[in-house]
This record gives sequence, structure tokens and C-alpha cells, in this order.
Amino acid sequence: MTKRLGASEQHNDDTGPAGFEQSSVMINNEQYKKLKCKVIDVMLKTKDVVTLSMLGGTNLGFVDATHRRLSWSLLLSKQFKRDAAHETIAEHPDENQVKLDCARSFGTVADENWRTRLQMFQETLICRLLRRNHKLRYYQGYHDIVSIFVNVFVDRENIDSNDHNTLLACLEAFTLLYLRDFMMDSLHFAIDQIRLIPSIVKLQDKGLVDTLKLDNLEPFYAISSILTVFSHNFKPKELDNSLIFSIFDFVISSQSMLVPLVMYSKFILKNKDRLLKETNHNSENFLNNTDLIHAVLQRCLSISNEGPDPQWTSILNETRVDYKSGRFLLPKLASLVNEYSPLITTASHSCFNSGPRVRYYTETVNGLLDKAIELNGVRKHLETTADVDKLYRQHSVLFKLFPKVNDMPLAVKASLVLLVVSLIYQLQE
Amino acid sequence: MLQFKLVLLGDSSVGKSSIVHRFVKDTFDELRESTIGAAFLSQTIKVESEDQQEVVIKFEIWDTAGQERYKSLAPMYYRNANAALVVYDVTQEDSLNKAKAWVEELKNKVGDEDLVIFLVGNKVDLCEGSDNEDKRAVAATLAKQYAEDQGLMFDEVSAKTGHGVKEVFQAIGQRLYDTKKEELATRQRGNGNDGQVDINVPRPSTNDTTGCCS
Ligand SMILES: Nc1nc2c(ncn2[C@@H]2O[C@H](COP(=O)(O)OP(=O)(O)OP(=O)(O)O)[C@@H](O)[C@H]2O)c(=O)[nH]1
Ligand SMILES: [Mg+2]
Repeated sequence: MTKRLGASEQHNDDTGPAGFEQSSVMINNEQYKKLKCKVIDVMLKTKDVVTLSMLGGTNLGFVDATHRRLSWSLLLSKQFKRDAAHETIAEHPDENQVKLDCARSFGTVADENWRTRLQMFQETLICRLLRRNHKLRYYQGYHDIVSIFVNVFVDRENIDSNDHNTLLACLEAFTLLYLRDFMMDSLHFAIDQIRLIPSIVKLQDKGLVDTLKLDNLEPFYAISSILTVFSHNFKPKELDNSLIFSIFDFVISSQSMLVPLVMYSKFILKNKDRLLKETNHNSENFLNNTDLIHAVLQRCLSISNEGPDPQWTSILNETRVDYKSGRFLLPKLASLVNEYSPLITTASHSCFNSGPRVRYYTETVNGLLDKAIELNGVRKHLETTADVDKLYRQHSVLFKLFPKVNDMPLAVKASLVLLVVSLIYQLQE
Repeated sequence: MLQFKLVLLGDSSVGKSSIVHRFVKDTFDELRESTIGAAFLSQTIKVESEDQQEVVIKFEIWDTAGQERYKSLAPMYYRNANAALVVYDVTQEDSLNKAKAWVEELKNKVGDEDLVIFLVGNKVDLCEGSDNEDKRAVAATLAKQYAEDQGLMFDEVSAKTGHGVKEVFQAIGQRLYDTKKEELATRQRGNGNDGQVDINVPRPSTNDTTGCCS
């Protein structure tokens, strides 16, 4: 059964909106959901993560909260294995900011009492995670991501249980594998990431980038979308089927933080006419181009948030199709982002068939985190993109020669360096 | 119509977004969510010219995120602003220190002599009535004195009740209009432009030079 569905999926790449179809038999939405849940159940039982991750990248993702919990949990546990955690009680320096943000969270929950309980739960969860991972720095917006996990894992029946370890483990895996760049003590790595957006757009529509001068202005317009994987923009309305859950299903299934960047680039491309029209029309109303583009894109995004949005559904669909068929068009990442970035390490898949999945262990991830923190210390003081480019290039030479270099013990790494050096010497002679 | 750019700065949770929403939509929402990056809003007001004519002013408003890490984005938003609203929370002593740091930064980094800086103490509703006086952590006289020393405009407001919020923007609009009108008069005579005036021509155009990703 696995095989057959897998095969039909591939054939139907570009056809139906579902992308997950029972050969050519037409089925309605309810039947589709039921069938899909059954298939997910089988994959969960047989721990078939490959098929499961394929299903996560099809219409409606993992369908409902129950299946979503189990699927995220299985997939993330296959991506990351944590050593026995050492819980500390030492307060994390960002706990006050966490409190301020959680108190303003879950604004779409109408029941005040329930909302307060969710906020408290969220605050406790984030603080617990930060205390377990003291090196991570909290950012405003991380709480939006956490609220998605809380939405999926927590309900009125289980909120008071004192075993939320599955949720914590999932959130921890997601945080450590996908969000490290954002959890430095500054925004620099996050800014490096959003700067990829105009580059991605340029690969597809150079004219648009030139006309709007997109590569001459800081793409700060995308900060809230990328830092929160769209969870700041799209608040879940209906628990099971909100777009935002499907986005997370896909990101986790693909183990890729490239997904949000590709989606945002598609969003710009899709709004091309509007952008061109509004920038023409409004150019007198704004003091500069940066402000104008930011304002127009913000407006396009907020319109999307007013109801079920066909535009974002198709952006998500197109991104899934591109991912499956290996059609992510990306600039060369190595000189644009830091070499320890999730984008080139732990959440870097740009294609469904991009080789076997690696399971990361605490030691490796902590190593990447330490290195990233160190590099960020240098990156912080660089002003121009040319300097940043140079820093990343220098740093990534060793990395490029030996992609697994970060997983190696120090002694092996040291001997590798010696080997390279002696080789270079020999070549010179 | 005149167009001015205004930026809000200040520590997280002092009520920047709430002030903007009170001004733009005349609403207050306890659940106003944290700002990530920056958010754009706009609103028009009317000010009075010398000859008692109404002049429409449009504010391009940039509401920024208060967490320290987002500070590095701020120059983008205040760089060619005409006015800055620096907000603190009258019940949080440290938020005034943060506000002072913003004032310093604006004075050091913004070349424009005419930049209007308005220091705003928010959440006065929390310390109204004799029962609540102990909630106040920043005395109005203290902040006022600081503002005078620094040449800032100053007032206390409540985004929750709306107290004083409109007046802040009205005062900024009037001040900006008064400073710009000379400039405008000369230029309008010069080019005979009717109505639509680009007030920004003489300002140093610093946008689009921050180069990135070429
Ligand atoms: N009592 C009272 N509460 C206020 C007032 N203004 C804002 N608040 C509350 O203070 C909290 C923070 O307000 P925001 O407007 O989100 O603060 P902000 O400065 O935009 O915060 P960041 O986006 O984090 O930088 C919210 O819970 C508001 O309801 C006020 O005038 N009175
Ligand atoms: Mg705000």
C-alpha cells in the first residue's frame, strides 16, 4: 500500500490540488481526510518515516491534531536524539521577556479563562526549555512558534497532566535543529537568512528585482514571517485545518528551513502586479522605497489573514511540488549564511530525494550551536555584506572539503587540517 | 496634503502598539500582541495654518518591536523620520532609562535638526486614584524636567482610556507644520505646485544605500 500511494503521489505532482490522490478516483474532502488518516495510522504503526514525511507535504498535511501530534513526534524524534536532559533551575536571562510576550499571546482564543491557562502553560513551557538550553537566547516571535506547538499538543483534557514530555521533546528538537540562527544574542544570522529572499526572487524574475530595487534594500519586511515560520502572520482559527498547521507539517516533514524562504519569495512573485502598481501609485506617499515595499507587502499579508486564503494555499502547494521534484532555485548558500546555519546543516533539505536523512545527536547540535555563537560574535561587528561574505567564505573552506567536519571529534579535525596543509605544500613543490 | 514619517521607540510592553492603535483606530485591546520587527500604519489629522485654514497632515507611522535584539533594525525606521515618539511606562522605572537611551541615540544618529522628539509616559490609568498612587514608578516632574533639559516635547497618556493620546499626535503635527511651513512657502512659490507638496526634497536621501545581497 505504501508503495502504491507513494507512486501515485509522484505521478500526480502537478495535477490535482490534493497531490495525494487515489489513482483517478474522485473523492470528496471528508473521504480524503478519512482515507489519509488511515494511511497515516499505518505509517505511524510501521514507523515508515519516509512515507510519513511525504504525506506531511501533501494537501491538509497531517489532517488533525491527533495525527499531527503523533506524526510530528515520530518525525522529530527520528531527526534528533537528545541525551538525558539536565534540567536546571537557574533562571534564564530572557524569562522576563517571555512573560511579557506570553501575556499577550493566544489573542484569537475567545474564552478568557482558557486563554489565561494557555498563556501560563506557554510561559512555563518556554522557560523550561530555555533553562534546559541555557545558551539559547529567546526572541520575540519564538512564542508565536511555541503557540502552534501548544495548539497541536494541548487540549482541555490534558493541560493539567504533568507529563508534557512529548511536547517538550518535539519543541526542543524543532528549536535546536531549525531555529538556532534566530536564537543568538543578536539578529544578524536571521538577517542573513532574510537577505536570501531577494536573491531567490532574482533567480526567477530579475526584472522585478531590478524594477523594485529589491536587492538594494534591506528585506526587513520579511522578518516577522521568517522568524516565526509565518505563525505571527497566520493565527490558527480552526484547530485542525488552518493553513499554519499545514505549513509546519511541511517544514517538519521536509526538515527544511528553506521552505519559509522559498514560500516568501513566491509570495513576492505572486504579488508582482500589485507591487508594481502600488509602488507606482504610492511612490509620492512614502519617504523611501524601503518603507513603501514594506508597507505594501504588509498589506498583502494582512489581506491574506482575513479569511481562508487561496493565494497562500497555492503558494504552499507550489512549494511542495518544487520540493518533491527538486526544483528549489537557490543561490549559493555557503557565502551568504554561516556554515553552522540550520539552512546548511540540520534543516537543509531542498528536495525530497536529497539523500538519506541524518539523525542528529545532542553533542553534534551543541557543537554547531557553540560554533555559531562564536561566529556570531565576529559577525556582529561587520557592517558590509562584502565583509560578511568574506567571513563566511573563509570559514566554509574546511567545511566544504569535509561536509561532516562538524560531527568529527576535535582530534580528527585537527589531523584533517594537517593533511590539507601538507597536501597544499606538496602541490606547491 | 502634507506627509510626515513618525517612528515609535521604547522598551517592550510599554504600550507603543497600543498608543498607535488608539490613535489610528481609537480602540484599545488588552490582547494587543507583541510586535515582531516593525509594523506600518497611517493616519491623517488636521492642523490649523496661520490664516485659520485647515491643513491635512498624513502620518506614516512605524511601530517598532521593543526587545533589545530588534534595536539594530531601528535606524532603518528612524533614519529619515520627521518625528519620534519615545515611550516609557510610568509604572516601570527602568523603561525611562531605556527611553533616555533612545533619545541619546536619536540625537547622535539623526542629522536632522528639525527632528521632533516627543517623550511619552504611558499607562497613567494604572496610577489614578489615591489607592493606586504607589504604582507610579516615574514621577511626572522628573520626566518633565529631563524632557525640558533635552529640548523634547513631553506628556503623560493612557492608551487604555485614550487620555492624552490624540493630543500628542496633534501637537507633533502642529509643530512639524510650523517648522516646515516657511520652507514650504518658499518652495511652493518657486514651483507653483498646487496642493501635493513633496516636503522631503531638501532632506538628505539616505534610503537605499544600505546595500545588501547584490
Ligand atoms: N493599563 C494599561 N495597560 C496598557 C496601556 N497601554 C498598553 N497597555 C498594556 O500593556 C501591554 C503592552 O502593550 P503593547 O502596546 O503591546 O506594548 P509595545 O510597546 O507595543 O510592546 P512590544 O511590541 O513588545 O515592543 C499590553 O498588554 C497592553 O494591554 C495603558 O495605557 N494602560
Ligand atoms: Mg508593539
